[in-house]
Amino acid sequence: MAAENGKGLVLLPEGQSLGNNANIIRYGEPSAANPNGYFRYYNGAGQPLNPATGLPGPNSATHIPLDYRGPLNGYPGR
Amino acid sequence: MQLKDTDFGWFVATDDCRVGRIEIDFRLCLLLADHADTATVCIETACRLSDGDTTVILNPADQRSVCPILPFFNAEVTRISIRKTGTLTIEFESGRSLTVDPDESYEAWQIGIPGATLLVCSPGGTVCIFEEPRPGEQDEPKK
Repeated sequence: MAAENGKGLVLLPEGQSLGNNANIIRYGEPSAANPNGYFRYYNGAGQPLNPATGLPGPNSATHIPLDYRGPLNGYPGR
Repeated sequence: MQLKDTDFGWFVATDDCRVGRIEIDFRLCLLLADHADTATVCIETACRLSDGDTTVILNPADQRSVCPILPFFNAEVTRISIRKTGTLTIEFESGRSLTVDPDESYEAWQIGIPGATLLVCSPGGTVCIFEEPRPGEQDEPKK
């Protein structure tokens, strides 16, 4: 599902309604910290995860650059 | 709860809304509930809690700093407003308010209204609004 302004995209598990962050993946536009854009993914409790640990983490760890290469622990996507 | 447009941005229309739960992880999240449904507000960057005379900074990165929000459990929320520039303000019946400004590097806050709407304050302050499509609507950005 795309943002109304076209500057974001959220992927929801099949059948899940918007507003529930459990196991979602969301993409965002380039920013000062992530000039190529970023994505975030969430656990079943709706917490953004640090891909290195698969655990909730601070902003710097849960806004993942699109050119990130490494593990995606806890990633809900297929 | 329903998102409404205003000249300055948006507000969330509520009916006798209260803080039903407070969660702290790397964020500060408030579950707001009214007679109709619920909304979750998650704050990820420093915010300001003010009573008009004094202001304290709550920073989710320093969990001890968010303690002043704890007495707001079950507090009545009178207004939730969002400026187009990305500033979120939650006003309470007590006259106090919680304000979150946008952050240049990271998402500052988001509001999820299950089954209806997700708002995200993107880095820099652009507010992204995702809404459940109505029957017959295509999943495409509005022009």
